[in-house]
Amino acid sequence: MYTAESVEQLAEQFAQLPGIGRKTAHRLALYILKMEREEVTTLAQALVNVKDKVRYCSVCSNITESDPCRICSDVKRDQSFICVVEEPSDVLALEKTREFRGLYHVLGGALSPLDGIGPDELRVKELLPRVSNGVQEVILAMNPNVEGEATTLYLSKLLKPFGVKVTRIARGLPMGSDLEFADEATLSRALEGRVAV
Amino acid sequence: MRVTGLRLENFRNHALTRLSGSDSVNVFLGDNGEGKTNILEAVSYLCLTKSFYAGNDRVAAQIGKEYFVLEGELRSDRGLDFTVRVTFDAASAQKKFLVNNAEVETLASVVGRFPVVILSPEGGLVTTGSPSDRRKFIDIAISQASKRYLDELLEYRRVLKQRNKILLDAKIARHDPGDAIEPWSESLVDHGTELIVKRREFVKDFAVQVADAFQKLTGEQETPSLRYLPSVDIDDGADSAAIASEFAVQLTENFSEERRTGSTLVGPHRDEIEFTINGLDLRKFASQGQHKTFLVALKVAEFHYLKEQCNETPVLLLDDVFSELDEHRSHRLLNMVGQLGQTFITSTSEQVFAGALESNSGAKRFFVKQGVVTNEEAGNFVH
Ligand SMILES: Nc1ncnc2c1ncn2[C@@H]1O[C@H](COP(=O)(O)OP(=O)(O)O)[C@@H](O)[C@H]1O
Ligand SMILES: [Mg+2]
Ligand SMILES: [Zn+2]
Repeated sequence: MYTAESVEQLAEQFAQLPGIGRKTAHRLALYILKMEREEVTTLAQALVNVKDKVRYCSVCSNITESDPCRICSDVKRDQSFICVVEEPSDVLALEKTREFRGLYHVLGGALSPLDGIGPDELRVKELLPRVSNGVQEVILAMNPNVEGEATTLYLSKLLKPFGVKVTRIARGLPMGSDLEFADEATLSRALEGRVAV
Repeated sequence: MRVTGLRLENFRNHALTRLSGSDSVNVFLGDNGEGKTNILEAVSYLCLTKSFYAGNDRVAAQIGKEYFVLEGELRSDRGLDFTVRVTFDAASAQKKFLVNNAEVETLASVVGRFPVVILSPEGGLVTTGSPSDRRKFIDIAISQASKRYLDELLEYRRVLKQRNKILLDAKIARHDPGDAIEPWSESLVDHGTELIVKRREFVKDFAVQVADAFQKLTGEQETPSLRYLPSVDIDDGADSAAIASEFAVQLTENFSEERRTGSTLVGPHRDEIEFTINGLDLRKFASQGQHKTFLVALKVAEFHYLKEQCNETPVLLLDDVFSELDEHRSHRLLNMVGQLGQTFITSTSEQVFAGALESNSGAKRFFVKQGVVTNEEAGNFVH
């Protein structure tokens, strides 16, 4: 093939990224080639920064640049609620709702033996000391799939001896969706998981 | 539901086939290997998003072609028209399913929207094959009627895989899986109980329909029946809670054996559905003819079940079935399907249909030769 080795190498790197196929990888590499040198430097620096500056919060395990993270060190947040989620992106999604004013705990995934993930691979033991410190309620907000469900079951059993209230988010309609357009299975689950008002 | 139009592009040996179906019986005639079954397979793709016998989409694209496109004009019982399209691209191995030009979010969401009942030689396994063939049969039937069931089934299978992985890892490493298995056992019981309840209910209702269809087909006084034999040993009238606690107990009882084998030994994945005629196990005591008649009765019953559950008349696909039935039962079957709904039939022999379709003015006859389809109105039906 008549091409430059550096372009090939870059495309090779892009192709390693999730969701990017050979064709797209090539297109991206050629696009970079056309960019201003300055823009490319900014991009490269941004890539390195993510690696150098971002770390895990020593309290909640969310990604952060300052430790403890902004949420954990915010005194206005309600310290008596901990919402347990799988990934940092879940924190982002929940924060967007502006509903929850407590703290988070990021597990870094969900139980999945098929992927080699057991309790030891998740940040579970980091959660326990937090719970014993005057927390009122732990809200389990895992993804609505079998891995999330197993993680919920596992954690609720684990937290039982702590005498803390443990709840899970309703497995029902996605926010902003219309009852009318929800599929049957979702609706029937939503009905099943209904709560008194 | 009816298929009013059909278009196959680069599908199997059909480079480009267009046809408009009759609302009643459509007969595809031709020698072996001309492409008749491929047309039924296309209808299967449009209704179920997949082939009724081939496991992978790649083999369905015409040899030397990089894609196939199937399009169907479907009309619901209430008169709503849908354009359904299935496209497959070999390079990306991507299959897309579009209803009125909008891509559906998950393929599973399509199942049951356009109900279909398929009777084919491969389907014969349901009466002669292993328990898994019978589980597959009832799973497909119930899934078309209940999306909730399909969800539970898929989730159960996923949980089972996860749980088996723990057991297998523990067996290989010779260690105790400890409490890591607990949430998976609990999930297995949750989802499994739903499956058991639904299957038990289905088999009970379905047995009545099968007996009825069987009687109409044979005109004889044989009593066929179905019996649900769940792997979790439960009392007849047990409710969900009782089934769940029984399931949990039996998991515990089998745990040491599970650790030895490295797999889950109790649960709906090991259910059996026994078919009987006059109280005798079909698999052990029935003749070839009884097997075939039972199979047809199962399918007719499935048709009625889906029609009622989905509120939509299923399309019937009969692949090569008449070569296997005697003349008497063939005629009874033809008369029966003529009254049920839209039917697509393949056959190598016109003989079977001689006389039988004359009373059916809407019937259409197609000839299939090397992937090319020609049609002749049933009015000129010669024999
Ligand atoms: N992917 C494919 N590309 C081209 N031809 C195919 C493909 N798959 C199957 N065929 C051809 O289709 C024919 C079988 O079609 P089928 O509909 O099963 O025949 P029948 O009329 O006996 O039911 C065979 O000739 C086979 O070679
Ligand atoms: Mg055939
Ligand atoms: Zn933090």
